[in-house]
Amino acid sequence: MAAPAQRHVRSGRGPSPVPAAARPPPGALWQDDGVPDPSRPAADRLPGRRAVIRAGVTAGTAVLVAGCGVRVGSPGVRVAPPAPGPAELARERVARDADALLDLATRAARLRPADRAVLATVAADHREHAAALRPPAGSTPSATHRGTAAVPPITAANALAALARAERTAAAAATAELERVSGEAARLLASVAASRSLHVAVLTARLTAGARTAR
Amino acid sequence: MTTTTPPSGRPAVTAPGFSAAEVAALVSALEAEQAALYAYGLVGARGGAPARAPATAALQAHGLQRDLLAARISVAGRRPPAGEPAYALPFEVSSAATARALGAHVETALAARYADLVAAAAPGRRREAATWLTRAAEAARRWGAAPTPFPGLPERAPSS
Repeated sequence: MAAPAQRHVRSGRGPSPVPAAARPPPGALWQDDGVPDPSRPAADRLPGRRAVIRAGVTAGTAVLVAGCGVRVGSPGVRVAPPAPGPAELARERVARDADALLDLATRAARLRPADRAVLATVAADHREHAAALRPPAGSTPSATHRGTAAVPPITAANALAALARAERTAAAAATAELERVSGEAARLLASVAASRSLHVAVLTARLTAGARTAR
Repeated sequence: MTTTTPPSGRPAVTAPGFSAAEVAALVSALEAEQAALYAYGLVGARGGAPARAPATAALQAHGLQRDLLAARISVAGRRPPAGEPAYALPFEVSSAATARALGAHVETALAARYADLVAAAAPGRRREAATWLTRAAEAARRWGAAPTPFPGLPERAPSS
C-alpha cells in the first residue's frame, strides 16, 4: 500500500528544503557520539550566528541521510552504506559550507574582475577543503551534493564584504564542530577554519585597499 | 587519571583529562614557542626598521604563550622543559628578507604544532588549540609565508 517503488529519491531539486519533521531533533546528534560537550551552552548563546548557513546545512544533512538510507536499488551503488554518524554529519556540514563559499567566491570573481586573482585562490581553497572533507567513496560530490546552501545575492559593490562575512561565519561553524569528530578529523577541521580566517584577512585587506584608492 | 611509564622508568602521573599524547603535543608546542622567541630576537635585530615593531610585538605575544603552555604542562603533571640558550637556524639570517622568512618559518612550524595539538587534545580543549593554529597561520602569512589551503598540515601543503 505504501508503494515505495515510486519514491521520489532526488529530493535535492525540490523547492522546499526540508520538512521540519525530517530533521533530527537538535539533541539527537549530541547524544549519540558519547562525547561530553561543554560547548553546548556556548552554542545556545549564539542562535543567530550560524542561522544562514544552517538552513543550507540542514537541507544538506537531510539529503545526505536520504541518499544513504533510501537509494538501495540505485544502479551503480552496490550496498547502502551505514547511516552516517555524528562525526560524518559534522564533516558533511563543514563540506557544505565549503560548497557554498566556493559558489559565493566564484560569483564574486565574475562580478569583480579586478579581484579575480585573489578570489580564484579563495575558490581553489574551498574546492580543496570540500574534497578533503568528503570520504573518497562519495567521489562525485559536486553532482550529488550541490551547494544549494544559503548563498546571499551579491552585487559588485558588496561582493567582497559578503564573502568575508560568510567566511567568518563558516570559520566559526567549523570550529564549533571540533568536539564532534575524532582527533585526526578535528585537525583537518581546525585547518579549514584557519584557512577561512585567512580568507577574511585577505578580503578585508582588499576591501581597505579598495576604499583607499577612491573609486 | 592515567599512569604512564616514560623511558626513564620513572612513573609519570598525568592530571585527569590529559592524555600522554596531549601532554607530548603541549611539550612540542612549548619547544616551538621557545625556538620562536629566539628567532624573533634575530628578526628584530636584523630585519631592519619595518620588522622591528612586529618582531617586538611577537616577542611579547610568544612570551605569554610560552608561559601559558608551561603552566598547562605543569597542571598536566609534567615538568615543562627549559628552553635552549640558542637554536640552529634553518638558513642564514643576514638581511631584511631573510629575517622576514625566518618569521614565516617559525610561525609555519608553530601552526603545525598547534594542528597536532588539536588532534591530541581532549575535545573540550580543541577549540583553544585551533585558535592558536589560526593565530600562527595568520602571522605566517603576514611574514610572507606561501599560501596553502591547509594551514598547519604540512602533508597537504602545495608542493614547493
